[in-house]
Amino acid sequence: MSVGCSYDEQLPQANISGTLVIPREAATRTVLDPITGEASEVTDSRFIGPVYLGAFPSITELDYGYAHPEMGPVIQADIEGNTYPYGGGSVGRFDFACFEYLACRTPTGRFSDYEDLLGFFNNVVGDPVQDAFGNQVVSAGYFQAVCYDLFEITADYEMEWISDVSDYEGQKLDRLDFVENADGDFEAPFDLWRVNYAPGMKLWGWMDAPTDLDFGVANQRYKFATCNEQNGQQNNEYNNDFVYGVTQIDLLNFPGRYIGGGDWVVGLDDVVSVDADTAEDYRANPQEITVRIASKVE
Amino acid sequence: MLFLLSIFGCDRSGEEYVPKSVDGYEGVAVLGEVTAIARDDLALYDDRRDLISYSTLTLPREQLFGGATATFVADGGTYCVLVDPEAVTWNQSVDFETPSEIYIKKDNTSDDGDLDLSVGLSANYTGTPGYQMGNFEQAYEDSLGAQVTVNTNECALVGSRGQTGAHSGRATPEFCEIDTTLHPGREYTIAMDTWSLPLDDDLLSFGLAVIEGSCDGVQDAARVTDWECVIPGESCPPDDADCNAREGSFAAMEYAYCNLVQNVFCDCALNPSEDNPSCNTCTTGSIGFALVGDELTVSPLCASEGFVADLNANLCAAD
Repeated sequence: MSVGCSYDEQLPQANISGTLVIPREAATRTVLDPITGEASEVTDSRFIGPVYLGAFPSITELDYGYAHPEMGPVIQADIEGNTYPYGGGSVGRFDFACFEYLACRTPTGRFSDYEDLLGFFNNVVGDPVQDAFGNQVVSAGYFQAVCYDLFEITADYEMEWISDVSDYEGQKLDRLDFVENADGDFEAPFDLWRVNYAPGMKLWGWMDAPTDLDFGVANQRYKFATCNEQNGQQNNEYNNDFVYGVTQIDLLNFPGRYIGGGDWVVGLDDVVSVDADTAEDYRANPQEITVRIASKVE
Repeated sequence: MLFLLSIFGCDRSGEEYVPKSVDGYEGVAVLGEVTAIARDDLALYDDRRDLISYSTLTLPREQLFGGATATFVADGGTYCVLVDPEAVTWNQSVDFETPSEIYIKKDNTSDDGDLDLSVGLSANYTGTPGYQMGNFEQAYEDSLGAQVTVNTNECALVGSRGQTGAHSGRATPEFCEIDTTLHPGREYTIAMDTWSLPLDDDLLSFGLAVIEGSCDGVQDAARVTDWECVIPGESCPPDDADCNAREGSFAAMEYAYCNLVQNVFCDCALNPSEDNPSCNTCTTGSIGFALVGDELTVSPLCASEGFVADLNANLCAAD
């Protein structure tokens, strides 16, 4: 068995791991006090949307007003070229947090538990969570009961969006992605599994920032461009008729479709090049990588 | 015991499920260059029969994959490309208590075939028309020298879950819009790959239409409510003299399907008992339609230009 486990398949692939850094400004929003209407700036790691990272042949600013991967041929009018990424991954993905009101609004790795999520939407964002009857959800116990009933589960760790939780053996699972570093920015580890290796490939990505809440003028809810609100698992239980939403399927192939003002991308100066000659070399000596997503899209 | 099992076990070979090649028909066909149809010319049944390209395929003799190709020259505008393989299909209503009346007739699936549609620049097509079907895949090399296979098929068929690369099932039309803005004056190839042949005769007839403009409103222009009905009578190409004998009452069945009265074909006379409760409401149109044997005949008045069958009222009304 030990001989079998040492066999090197010599696959032209490598797992790329490193540290992701999001600037403090990307986690800072102006919010209105729901009672007084007073505006204030709040920095909170829960404002950090899902982050998508990929490995690409090159990065350029020629096609968009921000750094963007090179694209292949344009085949159809009005459809940009495919970036043909070598691989990629994300830090956080959309999960369904039990209420239709939260569909496409709950990335994993951002919320500790029920109270953390309720506190964020009810008190920070100022867009209180509503249940299926239009009533504000204020009780973590009620939240938990709805989740257990909906998913027919018996433990919190079965829901990915709950990060501060113990598994079935009582082992602590710390699934929160971001921690504040000494500079006041936010850091998280990332893994891009089984990337097709090409020497000189560039790591690039972006953070999908939540939209500003503006019910008054734009009827704009706190949501994310990279979530498909028309698709995902369907819920038709009793009077329910909605979908949970799901991450768009072509984020790394056509990122320009989803990046908009307020999002943050890896700028040209922060693009990381992976330079080992072969995948085998990289696997033997993994590069220490830090990716900074520090360029705001205007 | 084994002896007995072996007797019953060998009473069928399954050969009837394997299509065969039929003499006189091609497995890989070329329709040549087709002319785009103006939307105004879609309104009348007879005009559509004249302008749409029809053909029939069988199992290829030598090639692995069968199908047909056609071309059209783009003028820089948008085109709706529509292919309709024979015949019609629906799910039978099997609810004993409250069946959906028009669907109580069981569909004959053995007369259904399936073609998969793709469209792209002829320069990118890898097949040899009339000899071997191909695809629209081309090699692309990125700036690091990595080779990527790019599919330049521009016929975007999206599935019910939003996934690209979907295709319709048996007997169901496929259609897509081709925006030729980037390549005015260039030739496009339409590739229709044979996915399945009808088991009843091993011949797959189909109709192909290239229509000017987008696919929105095509059904309205053709005065139908189902894509199946835009291309009429695809089971029998106009120039196939033997077809009517081969395909039987398809034209009548399609006509009935398009007017949501295919239950006129239900065999109430043969099975009027409680086994077929819907026979009590099995419609036999007496003014718009007449059922002769197993064939639906449209009355001369309803079939004539300027009139249309109002099936709800069972009347022929002025169009």
